[in-house]
Amino acid sequence: MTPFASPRLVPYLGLAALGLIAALALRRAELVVLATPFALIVAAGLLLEGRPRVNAWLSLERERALEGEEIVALVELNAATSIDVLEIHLLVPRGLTIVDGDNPCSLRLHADEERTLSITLRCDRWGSVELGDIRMRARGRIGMLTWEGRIRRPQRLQIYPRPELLQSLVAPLDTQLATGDLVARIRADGHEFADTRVFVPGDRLRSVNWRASARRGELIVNERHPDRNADVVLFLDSFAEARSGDEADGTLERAVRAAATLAGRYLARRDRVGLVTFGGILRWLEPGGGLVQRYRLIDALLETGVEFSYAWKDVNIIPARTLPPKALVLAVTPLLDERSIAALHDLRARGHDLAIVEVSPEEIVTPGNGMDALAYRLWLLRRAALRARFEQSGVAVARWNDELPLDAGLEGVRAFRRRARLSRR
Amino acid sequence: MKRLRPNRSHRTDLRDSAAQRSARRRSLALGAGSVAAADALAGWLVLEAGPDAVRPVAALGAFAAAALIAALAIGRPPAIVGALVLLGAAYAAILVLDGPPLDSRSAVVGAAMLAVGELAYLSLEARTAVTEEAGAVARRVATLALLVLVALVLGAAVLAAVDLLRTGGLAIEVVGAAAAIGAVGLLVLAAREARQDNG
Repeated sequence: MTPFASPRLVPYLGLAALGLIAALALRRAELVVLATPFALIVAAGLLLEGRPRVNAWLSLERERALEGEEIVALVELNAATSIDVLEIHLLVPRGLTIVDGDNPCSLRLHADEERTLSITLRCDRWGSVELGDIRMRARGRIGMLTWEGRIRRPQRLQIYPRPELLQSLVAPLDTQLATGDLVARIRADGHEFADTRVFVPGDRLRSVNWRASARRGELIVNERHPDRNADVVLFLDSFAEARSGDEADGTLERAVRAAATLAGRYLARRDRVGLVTFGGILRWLEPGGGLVQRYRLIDALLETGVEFSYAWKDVNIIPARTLPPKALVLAVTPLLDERSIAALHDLRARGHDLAIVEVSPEEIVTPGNGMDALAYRLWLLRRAALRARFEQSGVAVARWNDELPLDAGLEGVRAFRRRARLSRR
Repeated sequence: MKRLRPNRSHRTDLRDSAAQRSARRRSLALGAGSVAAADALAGWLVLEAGPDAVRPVAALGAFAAAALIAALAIGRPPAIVGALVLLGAAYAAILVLDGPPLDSRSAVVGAAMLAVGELAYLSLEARTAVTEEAGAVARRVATLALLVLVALVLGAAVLAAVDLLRTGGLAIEVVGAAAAIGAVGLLVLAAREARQDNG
């Protein structure tokens, strides 16, 4: 620990010196007596109080938590020397709030005493945070010197986004070859009845529909839809975000929450899910399935942040294997940055099955008066035109804001895709 | 688009405001103690001052009290030193203008000035966001009381020594004789040890 002079040290020394000089100048010994207490307290403080020795450790109740959950952090202290006043401050990173326990706090420790401080933290925002920066300030009984130190006991805490309310998903237009929970459009071996047709050599006998065969006077077989899985690529736009000044979530927080929910639901359906975080830093994860892929996806999502960048980026920089053919690309974006908008148009032009969940920034922006109100209206019109352009190219855009559950937002996508399919027929 | 402020829970806000209120109360009590001690010292000095010294002592005492109140109000430690210097100057004015032979009140004045300064600094230190253990302030005040007592005793000892040196008399003769006997004893001891080493 590093020693620092107390704010009293220099003034008291000055007072003692002034008293002695005045005693000499005025030839009055009483002024020496006046200076004595100040000299005494400084001397006692410097000579009697040594360097304090204390150690601290941090332990977290667990390494993973959900947004909104509370976790307990324990700061264990062990003093080798007696410390009259020890101030402890555990630096709490953004995304965590102290709910219970005093931080910073001051306490007294005897020699060889161990003490454990308990601090309850609430996880406010998803992310990967590091705790463990402990600042300490100690002083003795007289306190002419204060000793300051910093102990680092890094502990990483993964705060997973809380799931959004979601009952049904957006179905992809095409399925893949592996078995899953989706009813494929093609006809093959499966459970779901599709149609009947005339028997051809090679058909299995158990496929024969005997009732239909009796009515038609020839052998008729049932055709079925197989159960297949799908590839889903979550396209998360992290170029820009909208955020209000108050404590409400920004568009990125909501987008990550939506992406994590969608990933979990698609993986539960045995689909393969991939991720492209398209922003200042490009991150991708090839489609995969299972629990491991779920943790990979969430860990990748936790690292997402808005990194400012002037560089123009398009879909060419995304590795081809990340966007497999017939995959449903589900973009979660606030539609604020031209680069991500151009990339989405490009994806559609390349024939990808694309749907957009627009994390709406419109409710965050407060319209002003006069010219501000006019600018706000123009901005809304431009956004409406942008959505219309996407819909003209066959891309469903679902607006999702803080007041709606994600399910209500996705319902717009599902309805559009049903209509689009009918019009294609 | 502004950045998010760190979230603070309602419970945290309530606890913080309670801690702040408690810290403010502690600081106010210690500050009031410091001002009361300074006022008492200044008032006592005015009462003790002779006719020539009353006015300057009263003026210096009033300035000292005002400086201390200002220091505590604006939270500036250097002004505390100013207040202590003014209190010391008030006492020095008594010494210069009234000219007592050897003033035994100086030990009390020195201890009181220490109490004024320590209480004022404790008041400023109490204005902190750090939550303190129960009884921490009482412990510091007890330490301060002990320090003031030690200062009083030490001041009295210094005064006694000065008086002894100044007046001389039988006591100083006794001390001189004791010192001489001690020196002879030391010499005898040294000579005996030297003889044993040679033998």
